Amino acid sequence: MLKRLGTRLLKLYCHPDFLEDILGDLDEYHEQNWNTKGPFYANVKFLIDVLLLFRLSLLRTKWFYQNAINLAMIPTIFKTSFRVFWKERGYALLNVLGLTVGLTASILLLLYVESERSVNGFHKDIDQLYQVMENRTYSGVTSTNEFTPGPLNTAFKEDFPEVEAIAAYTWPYDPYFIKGDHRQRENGRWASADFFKVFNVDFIEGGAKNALTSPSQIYFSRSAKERLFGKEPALSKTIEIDGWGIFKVAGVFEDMPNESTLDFDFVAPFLVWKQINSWVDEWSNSGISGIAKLKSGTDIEAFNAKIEGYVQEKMGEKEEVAGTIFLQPFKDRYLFTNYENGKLTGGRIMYVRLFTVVAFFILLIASINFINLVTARSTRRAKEVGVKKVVGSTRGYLLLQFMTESVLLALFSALLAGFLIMLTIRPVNLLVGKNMNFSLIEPNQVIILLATGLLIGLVSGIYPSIVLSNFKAIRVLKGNFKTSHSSNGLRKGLVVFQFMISTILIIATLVVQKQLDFMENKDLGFTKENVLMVPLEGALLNSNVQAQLKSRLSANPHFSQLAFSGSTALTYGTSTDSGFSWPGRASALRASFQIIQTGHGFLETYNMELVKGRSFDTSLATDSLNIIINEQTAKIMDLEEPLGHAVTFWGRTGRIIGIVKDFHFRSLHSPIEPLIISLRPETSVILNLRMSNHTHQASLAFLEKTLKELNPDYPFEYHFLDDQYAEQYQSEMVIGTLGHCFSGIAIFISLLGLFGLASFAAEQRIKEIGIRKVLGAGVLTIGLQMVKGFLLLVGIGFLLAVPISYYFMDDWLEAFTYHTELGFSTFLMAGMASFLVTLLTIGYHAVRAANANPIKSLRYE
Amino acid sequence: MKKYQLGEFEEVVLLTVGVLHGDAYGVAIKEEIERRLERKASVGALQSALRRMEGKGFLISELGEATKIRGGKRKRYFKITAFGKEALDFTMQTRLDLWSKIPDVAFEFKPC
Repeated sequence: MLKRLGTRLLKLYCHPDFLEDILGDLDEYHEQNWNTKGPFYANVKFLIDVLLLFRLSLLRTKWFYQNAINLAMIPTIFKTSFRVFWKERGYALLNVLGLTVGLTASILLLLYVESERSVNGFHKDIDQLYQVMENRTYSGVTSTNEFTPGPLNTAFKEDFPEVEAIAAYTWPYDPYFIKGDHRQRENGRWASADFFKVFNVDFIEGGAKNALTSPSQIYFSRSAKERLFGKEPALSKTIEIDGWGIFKVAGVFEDMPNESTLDFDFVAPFLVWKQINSWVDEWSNSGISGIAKLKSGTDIEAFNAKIEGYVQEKMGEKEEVAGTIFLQPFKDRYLFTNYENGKLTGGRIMYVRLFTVVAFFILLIASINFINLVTARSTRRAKEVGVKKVVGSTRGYLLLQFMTESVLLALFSALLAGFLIMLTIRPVNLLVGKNMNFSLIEPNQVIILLATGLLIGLVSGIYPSIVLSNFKAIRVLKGNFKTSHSSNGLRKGLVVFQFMISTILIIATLVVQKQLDFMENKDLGFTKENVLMVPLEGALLNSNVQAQLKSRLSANPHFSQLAFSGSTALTYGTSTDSGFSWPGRASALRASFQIIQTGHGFLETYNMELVKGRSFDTSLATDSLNIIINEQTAKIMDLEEPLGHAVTFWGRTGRIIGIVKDFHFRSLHSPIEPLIISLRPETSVILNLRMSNHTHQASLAFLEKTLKELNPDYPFEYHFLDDQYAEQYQSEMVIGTLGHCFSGIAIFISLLGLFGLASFAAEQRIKEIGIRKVLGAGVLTIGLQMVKGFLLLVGIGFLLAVPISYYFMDDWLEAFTYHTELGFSTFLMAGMASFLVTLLTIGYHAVRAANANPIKSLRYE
Repeated sequence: MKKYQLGEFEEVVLLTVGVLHGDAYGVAIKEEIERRLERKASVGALQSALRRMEGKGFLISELGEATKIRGGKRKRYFKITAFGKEALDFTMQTRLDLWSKIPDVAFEFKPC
């Protein structure tokens, strides 16, 4: 063994002139050692001596075979390559098509992955930025969110020297900006003084000095400024925020170059907002977000350990549950968002990783096509190799010839893919809601593209080139030459692999689709179709105007039900623990109750079902003290007869008058939470409106007219509930669409390969089929003969794909609290689909071969 | 020295090739060196010295007949050339010169 290895090594680098006698010497010496010191010593010594023979004076001077490539042959190599492409243009086309589609798909996927990864990453000092997160534990379950106690955001900096800056900011808010007659919504935040110390934005006008410290300051992004003020400088100009008074522009900053989880087109001083939201100043209320900038080099693990009990410490021994806070790196906020019981479990990163793998596999499938087509057709090139070898061509030259062909094809495909990506990037952007760029003028992107092409050309070319250049001239030229079994086996293995991957992708797509359908059609506990939501602003906040609106709309048959409320059935605003009590509530009970505050008619508008009791009654004034609960709340309260039981909620003591059937007011990822519905029309900010028919056009026109009359200052705005529902599953829908596209592409490329192989098989067996026909075989028999082998390969691929996809998709579905089941039918459908398309692909060749006239195929021999 | 570049090990090898006149091939040279000088000589060092000196023209070589021993591989026999002899002479001469120039005093070691 060792000796053989040594010999090979020596042959590799020793000058061929010296090889024979040195090897002879080594052999002789080896034999001596064998006899005197034993086999082991001899073998090891042999190898060591070989290694020591790696000396400059003994090395070969020509590394790639003798006189490997004459430079003069290079044009010939290219010429031959192009002739081969032309001669076998069908196959060249198949290869180019497969590679182009594969490259396009993979690079688009990678661009998507890259853009997902770059969210948040562009901020300056991103490594020092951290989101303040909070864990809260209710009845043994810890939930994690980014809302933190307000005082934290001033105290934190004083208590911990590691904190360089910390800013409090509110959730996104889009008020109207009023400038003369012009009204314009802009999206932004109220943020405290350190905000621009944390986010080091580039100021075009004004600056970060003393920012957000005086109540009249406001900051705009460049695009928001241009929308509001046009091109002229806006510094020191004034603008009114609807409901908040006049503000003076203190600065304009450059737009964010990229997506961020914290976006803002305007930033207004937190202290203004705080004046009417004084609850923020309590340690027990977590309602705003905080973002911190730590000194560089701070050990985050150690720091998190240090701040764990901080809030509890500040609160002292109060009854309420204190959250524990920790910091999460801001750059992870987009991709790592799922916490389960306080532990990070992932988030979008799962999809990002998944797509990276899919991109890789699509490339692999395309490369496999290439390998298969070239090796399958190697018999055709065998004669060429034989003749070339006879005339004196070396293996090195042949290798170069075949590698050149493969690299040329791959590079050409890469170039085509580049154009294709440029063409498709716009629709893809629309599809996934991104703003990705690709251009063949961008040197970086072109280099990456061509490098990928080159790599694919090299990788997929190397095996066929070695096989082809290895043919022995004598055997090839003697006549009837068959490719080896090993390359046949490899080809089959690769086809199985291709179809395994494609089938896995198909199954995964089907499962995602099934889950999307499930969510679309899931009985949520309310009817989400035909419900319209209109924000209440300006005059509409006045209860008299609301009453007028109600009477006008009720008179119109287009609208069947309406309710004014603080939130819709899908958006939840607030929750409470200690704010809700009842005689007999165990003092140790910790629970978080979601709250919907509404006017009359809420349940009716949404078609919610009452399990027991009644809805709020307009004629009973005392109902404003009473509440309706859902089944989850009833379960937690654990009363014998909840109906009529006395309860106190946020200072009002009344009774439970009804229990509403559990409905999904959050996404199906999470379980239904306990809920309290309280009659507080004064808090209403939304009009929920059920339309009685589908003539939305007319209804909307009427609604717009009515609203314009009652509230002339504000433009007409509305949302459909089902749109809002669908928005919750945006990422799943994107996954679904991408899944469709890319599993389609994977199977398409695999089929291209199969098509090529089938046509080749038909061509090779042409005589066999002719003889069979002469002897009386029918078209069907021959067709089956042709199809059988390929279907077997596809079948094996399918069988391998089933357990793998079952494992992964079961895992994926588990992430939804409410999910569809992985049925037998999904797998059956995927199997049938791949079976069918395979049959169609190779069927063409099979039928053609079977119908061919045997006279033609048997004419020559 | 420029004319005859001859390292210490090369000199030993060259001399041994002379000693083994007519029978100087790899293994024999190696054994002879190991026996006479009581030092190890690795195949690598030996072979590279031989090729180097052949390149400089101190040695010539020719392949012998193939025999059944050593798997039919031929031996390469080395012979010293006239130029090699000159180099050896030159080396010896310079050493002798040096020896003769050493004053007797230099070798008188007094006990301290």
